[in-house]
Amino acid sequence: MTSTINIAKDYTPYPGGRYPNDGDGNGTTFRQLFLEPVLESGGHARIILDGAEGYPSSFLEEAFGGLVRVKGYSPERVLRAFEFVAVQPGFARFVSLIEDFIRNAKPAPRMV
Amino acid sequence: MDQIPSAIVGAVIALAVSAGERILNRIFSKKEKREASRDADVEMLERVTFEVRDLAKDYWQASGRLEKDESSILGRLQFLSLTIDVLFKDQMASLRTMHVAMNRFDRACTDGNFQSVDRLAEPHRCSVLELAAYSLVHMIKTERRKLS
Repeated sequence: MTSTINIAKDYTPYPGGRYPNDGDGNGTTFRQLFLEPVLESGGHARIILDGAEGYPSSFLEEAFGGLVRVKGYSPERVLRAFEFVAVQPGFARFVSLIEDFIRNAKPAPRMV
Repeated sequence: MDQIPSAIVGAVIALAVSAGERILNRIFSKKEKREASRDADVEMLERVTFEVRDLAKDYWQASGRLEKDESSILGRLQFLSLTIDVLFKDQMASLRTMHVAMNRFDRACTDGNFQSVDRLAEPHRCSVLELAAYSLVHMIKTERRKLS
């Protein structure tokens, strides 16, 4: 089943920052609240990017690249689990930016 | 009435020529206006790109949160994205090329610890910023020349 996550409406219209202490709209909290549950349940989600003020790269990398880098999911699995919708002028490029962050993220080495 | 007076013939021809000129002028005027509007957009994109570059260079040479600078950078980046999408909306290949250049510039400005409270200065980012800004402007001008 495909769920829909509208970032501006469900999370914040002002996404920004990487870590929880960077502020309310940070990428880590968004990943933990909205993205990780989709992957844990084996589901699929449509992410609506329209409506926000914009997306700093640091937020997008932490939220989406973090699924590979921090949580260890494969880029293929993440790309299969999410589809991105950006119709608003000026937003289409964020889709390729997010996909690049997912494809290029490297899982952090585990401490032994 | 075998012969139409030459004055009437002349008047009809003059009217036809005048109407034709008006139509042609209108067509060329519309095209010239569109080209002038595109040139103005390109000039503005260049100016705003270098404004963002300067703001981002100052930002990455300092430490910590600088909310006013962050907002200025993000607002201008979004303006660049919007204007690029509108300018190249009918040329998919150009638009894709522009998205790649725009994303590279965005990453140079706002990746890493952008907006992080514990952020340290990263002056080494300045060379990447310069390269990404000039590449974006070069790409805008190259793709603009392809617009018909």
